[in-house]
Amino acid sequence: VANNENDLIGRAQAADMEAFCLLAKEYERRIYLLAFHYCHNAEDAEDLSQEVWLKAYQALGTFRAESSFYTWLRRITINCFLNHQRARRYSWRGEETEVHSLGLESIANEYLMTSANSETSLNNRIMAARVMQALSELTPPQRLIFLLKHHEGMTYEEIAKAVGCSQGAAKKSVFRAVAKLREHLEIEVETGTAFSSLQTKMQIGV
Amino acid sequence: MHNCKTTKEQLIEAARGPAMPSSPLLEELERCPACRGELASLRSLFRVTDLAFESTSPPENFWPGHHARLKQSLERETSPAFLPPVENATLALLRSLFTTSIRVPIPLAAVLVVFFGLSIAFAMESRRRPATAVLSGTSTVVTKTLEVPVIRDRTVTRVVYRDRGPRMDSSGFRPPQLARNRIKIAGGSDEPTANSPISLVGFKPTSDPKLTIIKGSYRDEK
Repeated sequence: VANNENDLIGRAQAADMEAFCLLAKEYERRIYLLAFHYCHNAEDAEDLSQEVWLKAYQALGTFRAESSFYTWLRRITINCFLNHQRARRYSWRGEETEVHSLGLESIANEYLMTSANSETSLNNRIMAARVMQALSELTPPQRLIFLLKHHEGMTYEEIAKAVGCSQGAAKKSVFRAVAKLREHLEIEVETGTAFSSLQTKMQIGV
Repeated sequence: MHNCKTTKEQLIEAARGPAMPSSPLLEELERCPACRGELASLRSLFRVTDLAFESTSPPENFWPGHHARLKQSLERETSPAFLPPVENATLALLRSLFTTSIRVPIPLAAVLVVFFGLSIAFAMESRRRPATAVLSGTSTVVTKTLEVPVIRDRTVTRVVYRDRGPRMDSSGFRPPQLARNRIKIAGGSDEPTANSPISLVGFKPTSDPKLTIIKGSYRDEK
């Protein structure tokens, strides 16, 4: 696989677009998901990931194989996210659209309309809404740092180097994200009760 | 000595790692039930977060479309028609000069702004001052040291003695001047002029003459 990747990189560096697209196919999911969890909006995630790939294509000539291709790509991704954050302050549209669409009533309506959905999946979606709500209350850099730690499994040292902050600041961001998640998932017990009562009301047709 | 704060920092790593933590951490956890509880809580928290991320991820049928859009976008953006025109070095430098930003700490920025404002205020004030003085008609006293050249006149007093000629008599006859007019200047000496005759008035011959014999033609030869 590594040989194949090296071969693709070599061909892409020689301006072979097909080879670059094959490389992109290998990592596009990871980049898109990172972008999606960062900005919580499908359109913005699509724009961001496309920008990352375009920058990667333009900078491919500077890739010296000192690190893995994904590590190099992730550095471009982080820079892209940070630049986007500076250029256009994300209003965390997920807070208004995605999380709102995952609100309790809409989930319940969806559940009633499509009876094929299991209760487990419904609970997962409610849980997801709470997690997204917790992350939405973090600042974009804090959210990015938490994602790099949790999603990408980077060390604090790597995060600090990539984001341009101290290791202490990176640790603080992760602790803050954990605290927010705890806070929201504790409310989950109450919302579960609220959801049960809502479900009961719907079932009896009140 | 167990320190919960230090252990908790390692728990996030441990919660994301394998089910069995490393042996030093395991020892710490065996000693402290609070840290054990924290680890269990973090594990469940991360499990829920992972589930949440999975449930919000796009379905499988999303990816072919995403790849097609990405490919289309790359082909469009990298085609020569869409490439930005090549800028020359000066333009690029100017652009980077005007678009580059630097981070400045807030206190320093505040001090700079205040200093800039004060300097503008002082400059405006100093410009306004002479205009107000002229308008109000008040004069200001300016002390200046000037060098004035002083012409020193020297007064020379000369006493002139003049021989009086014979007075006219009652018939209006003036006798001709016989002797030369002698003008005596104070501090001066009587010098015979070319017109005046030589006289031996006041000459006294010496009684003891000294004789000097001059030999030869050279001046110093005796």
